[in-house]
Amino acid sequence: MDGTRFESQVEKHGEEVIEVSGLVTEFHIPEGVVRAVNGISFRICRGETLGLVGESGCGKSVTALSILRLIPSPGKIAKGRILFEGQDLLRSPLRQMQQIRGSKIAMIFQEPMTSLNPLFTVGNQIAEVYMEHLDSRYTEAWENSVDILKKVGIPSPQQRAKEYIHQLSGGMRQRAMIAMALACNPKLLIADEPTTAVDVTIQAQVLELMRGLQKKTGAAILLITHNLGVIAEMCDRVIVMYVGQAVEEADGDTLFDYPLHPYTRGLIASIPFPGRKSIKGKDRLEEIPGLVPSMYDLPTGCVFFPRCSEAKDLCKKEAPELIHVKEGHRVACWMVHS
Amino acid sequence: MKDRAMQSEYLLEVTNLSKKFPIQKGVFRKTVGFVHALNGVSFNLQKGESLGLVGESGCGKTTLGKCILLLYPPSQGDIFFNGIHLNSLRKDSLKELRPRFQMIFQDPYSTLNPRMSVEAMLNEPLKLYTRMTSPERKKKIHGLLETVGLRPEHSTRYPHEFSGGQRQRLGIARALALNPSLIICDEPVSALDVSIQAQILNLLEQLKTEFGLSYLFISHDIGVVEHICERIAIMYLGKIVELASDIQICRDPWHPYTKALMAAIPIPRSGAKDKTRPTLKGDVPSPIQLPAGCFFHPRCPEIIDICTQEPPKLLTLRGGRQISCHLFREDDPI
Repeated sequence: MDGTRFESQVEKHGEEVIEVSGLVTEFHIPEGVVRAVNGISFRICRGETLGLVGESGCGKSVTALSILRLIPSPGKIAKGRILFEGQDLLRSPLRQMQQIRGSKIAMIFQEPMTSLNPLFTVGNQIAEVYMEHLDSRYTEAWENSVDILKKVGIPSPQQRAKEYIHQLSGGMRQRAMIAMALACNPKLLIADEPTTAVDVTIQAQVLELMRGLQKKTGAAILLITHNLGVIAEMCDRVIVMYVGQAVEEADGDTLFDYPLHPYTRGLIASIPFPGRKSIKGKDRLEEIPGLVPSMYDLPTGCVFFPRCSEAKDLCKKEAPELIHVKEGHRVACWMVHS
Repeated sequence: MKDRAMQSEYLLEVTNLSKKFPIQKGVFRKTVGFVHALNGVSFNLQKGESLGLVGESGCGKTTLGKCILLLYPPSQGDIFFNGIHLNSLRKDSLKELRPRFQMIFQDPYSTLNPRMSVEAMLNEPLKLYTRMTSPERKKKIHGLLETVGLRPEHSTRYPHEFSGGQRQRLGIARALALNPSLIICDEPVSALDVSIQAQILNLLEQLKTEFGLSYLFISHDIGVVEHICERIAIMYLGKIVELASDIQICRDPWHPYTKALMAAIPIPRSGAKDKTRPTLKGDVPSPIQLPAGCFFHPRCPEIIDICTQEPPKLLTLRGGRQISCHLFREDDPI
């Protein structure tokens, strides 16, 4: 990432919150070594939203978990540097990580039903965050939880705080999870598919809520999703991932107006969004032929070449690097580089 | 039976279909209430036409699909298939008719028997319903696999050897095996990634023209439905609130719920960042205790007095749009 571009990014948004460079996360399993994340780099500034988009298994969630160092065994972070507030998270002692998790870096998970504890009340679980990180006493922590539940728009928060997760509706559960993530005013909020499990009308509410809270607190957001619509609406910048690698990075509008990588173009063209038929007529959807390659057996050269309609000899031999084609627009494709 | 079938204008006609599931409690399984999954659904489907059913989770889309196939006995209402009254049919006559309507399920992982090879799976319906000889069946199976974009040598494999998209192709091959005229597709692409989703949608589209199929296409994704279907029905709490052509629904929705639903969908396009939009307040009410009057009134932004008291009827406006809302009259022009 070159200096001039980063300066403009800082100018627009303010100080840098996190810098990830050359992150490689591997899983050592009997069948071999799987590189779930293969050399991802990005920076996020205050008040900025970065989107990670890609199909299932492309390493979006593993990237997020790597930042928090929550990679389950047999996985491990093999290479890279994650600078958060000037401190390398990969070299911090675990105790320090524990202090950062949930307070300075918080995460919203996809499935509130499985990531919140069914045996404790909502208020109790949120109060725990305050007690752990701010050393609050229980009564004070409880009041704070009711407060934050109110802030995320849960009606009658006094009552709801005393209820269990199964008593809440899907949208309300996701709000409770957001409340818990925001309890300590995190500098960085990682949202891993925050709206995948909810209906569209509830999704609209949740996205609105996240945007509103970001404006108030100035938190940086790393938004992980497979939904390009959500990306278009939420993100300042977007990284498109394919089998663990970034294939394109651009700001939101550029990505949709001038996508350069064949994979990005294929993804955008293959979505049937409402109103498409009246614009384009009833044509076939564009499809990306073939399947995502197996992680055990990645193709040599460009990882996308077996599915790429424009592949040339060079693509099979050598992997293209993610380089700048324009300010703020990076692409890993030989066809674009030439 | 055939004569009556010739007379019928519609392939499928559903009138006033309702389904409630009892909630049972205690040692004696006493019924303490009902989940009202469907509350008087009426629509029809012409031969070769595709109708989309769209709604949020819990609105009764899947229940409707299963009631039409009589996988759930409906509590009330009539289903006519080619003019034949399905729910008064005897068991053996119904069995005879079953090959004509098939279903494709949502989850390609749990709906294929893991212990049956592809060949065994596709062989079963052919054995039960046709008089083909074994080599004929084998040929048919290979043909089916090619139709859905798989290869004949796949027939000896088991479901776990296939990817999600390929499994969904198997589900489609199974539904096609007995040459049905109606296929109920229950969220056939929602478990798939976008690049694979496009492949399956194109396949469904191609099969429709090739075999003259009719689809009842159930999905929560209005974009997918618009792509496949000519008409779209929007459901809310077990009722159809608006039914119109794909273009009418997507470009010019009338019902306040349809409008809110359309506005809530994020479009993958530039310039969408920080778009503010009217969001619907609150959640879908419980189908156990339905609201009085119009079911949508607690969340409706355009509510008037009558909405809380009287449930609106499904009106057919001029131009064919059907709508269930007090804001509209039968003589309104489209």
